[in-house]
Amino acid sequence: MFDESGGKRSEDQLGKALSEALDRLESLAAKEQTEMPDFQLLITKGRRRGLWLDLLRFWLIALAAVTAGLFSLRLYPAFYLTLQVVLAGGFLFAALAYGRRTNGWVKR
Amino acid sequence: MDERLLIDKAKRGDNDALSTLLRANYSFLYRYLLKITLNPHQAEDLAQETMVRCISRLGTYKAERSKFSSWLITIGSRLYIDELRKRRREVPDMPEEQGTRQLAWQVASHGDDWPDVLDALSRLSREMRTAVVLKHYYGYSQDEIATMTGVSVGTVKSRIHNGVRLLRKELREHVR
Repeated sequence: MFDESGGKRSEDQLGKALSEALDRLESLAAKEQTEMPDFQLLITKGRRRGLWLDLLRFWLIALAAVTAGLFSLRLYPAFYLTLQVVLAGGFLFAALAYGRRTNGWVKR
Repeated sequence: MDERLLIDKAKRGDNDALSTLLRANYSFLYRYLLKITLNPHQAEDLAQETMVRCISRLGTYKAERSKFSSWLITIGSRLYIDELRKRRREVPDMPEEQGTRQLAWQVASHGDDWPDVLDALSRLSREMRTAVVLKHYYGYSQDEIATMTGVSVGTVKSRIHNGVRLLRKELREHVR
């Protein structure tokens, strides 16, 4: 079926066989594909998730601006307090994200 | 309607334009995911999750960088790889064949033969399969595949090279 040399000709043959097989899979998918999903529901879910991401981004920028502002105004005690809150929040967020990704301490 | 116009409208919050855009690209995305997962249920779940992620990040899409369909493939491929890593952590010895068997059964129920190439393709690792399909079926360059899958060009090269070598080996064994 395939050129034993493993060269360009063989790769072309393989590519052709692969294309034909995947085309057949595609035509099967067209026959078997169930109905389309509810796009309005997906849009609602996606827009809501996008809103949360925007809110998170806004809060990060706002906190960074406040921290920089306090430093530039030489309000050092308030600056250190804000910095501690930002760092603690950052570590907590990173730990939660890590735990969620790795399933670390949840179940193993 | 022109795709760029639909994207602009969708970015401005027009849900009808967004729905039209998603509807036009859903089948393409589902078929791509079916080819790399070889599992109809998983492909459907991933297609829907890709759509949700695409909607939530639509503001970051730049038409001058890539086609909308390529952007969807990028999101879908990365979700697939993330899901794969997560599953490997939860069930290290998870069998992969169940979805493929279902697909083979569907092919047989339509009176067709299950091609040897698909059998060989299903035995490749998922990362290799993704790279081989993107290169040899969709015709993307190695650089594009590297961007899509979030790995270096060297890794893509080795995945394609090893994938093709293994496919060739499997197919030779089928012939014997």
